[in-house]
Amino acid sequence: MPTIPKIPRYLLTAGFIGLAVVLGLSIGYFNIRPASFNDSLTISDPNQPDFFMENNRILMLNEQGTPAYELTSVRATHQADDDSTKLESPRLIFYRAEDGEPWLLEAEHGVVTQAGDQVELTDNVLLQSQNPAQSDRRMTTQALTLFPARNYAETAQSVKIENADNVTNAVGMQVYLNDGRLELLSTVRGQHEVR
Amino acid sequence: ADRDQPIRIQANSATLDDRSNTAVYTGNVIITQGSMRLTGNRVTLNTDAEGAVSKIVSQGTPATYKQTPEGGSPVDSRGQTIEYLADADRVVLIDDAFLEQDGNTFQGEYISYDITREVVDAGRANSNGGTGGEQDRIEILIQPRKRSEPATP
Repeated sequence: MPTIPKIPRYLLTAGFIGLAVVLGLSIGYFNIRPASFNDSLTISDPNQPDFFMENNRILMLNEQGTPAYELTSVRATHQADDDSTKLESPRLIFYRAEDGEPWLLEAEHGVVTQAGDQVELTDNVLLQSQNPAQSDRRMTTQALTLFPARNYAETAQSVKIENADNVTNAVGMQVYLNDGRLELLSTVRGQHEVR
Repeated sequence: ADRDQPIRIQANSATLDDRSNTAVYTGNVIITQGSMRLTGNRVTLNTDAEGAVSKIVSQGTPATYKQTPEGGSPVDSRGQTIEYLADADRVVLIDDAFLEQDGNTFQGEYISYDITREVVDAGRANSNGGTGGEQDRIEILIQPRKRSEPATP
């Protein structure tokens, strides 16, 4: 067996020490540490929700402390970056300032922004006044923006208004929720059935 | 009859008021019901609690009202303001009122037309808004019936 050429002892120890020094330096230099082996998964995606609620019920009060609106939804996801809350099938009961019956709003999706001062509802939006005296009036559209503090909602989309057996279609609508007044903005087509 | 047909409305814009059961339509408004056709720039429609139309007030330059009831004689009329009263089945033309039926024309400040009986049964000067001076009288022009033409029913 070929014998290892005799290396003088001092060379051997110098080699080991040198290797140790190089190793030490490289650990410091490459910052190798146990943590760098299991790289933790940190997503820095901006619209990463910070919390979400399911089957939640939010009661929003106004300055006088009386309920402004009650919002329930299957799922509400709060976005940290723009402080908005995305809603799945939101259902909103909007209370009129003075007496008068509340309004019901429903949609497939919704987004609450400006700390609750703006609620955008999209996809099969229904706005219904719960007026027992008069047969209630139903409004359906594909998008509606509600401004609770101003008791006002608007849409630029086409809207259908059913009330008893009258049907009115229009494009663009403004709803003054307190006094129950609707402004239909264009191409108004109405039909009143005669009993 | 026209009365039992649905009322159709076209307009550029509208204001529907829940509380007072009124709807104001603006911008070349056309309202039709069967053969009846009412137009105006601004039309106010009042409904009763159940949502049935009780009164329509059309203002225009001029507002027009036309109707050709089956078997009846067509009516063509206009006025600054036209009021259609559903229950009374009556149309009232106010200010520069003009109504033409079978060649007969009625002109004046105020004409009231009974739709069911298809007859102008009232016409006078606008007592409150009269233009003063000589009392405005309603002017009626009845076409002489030609000998050969049979009397219309």
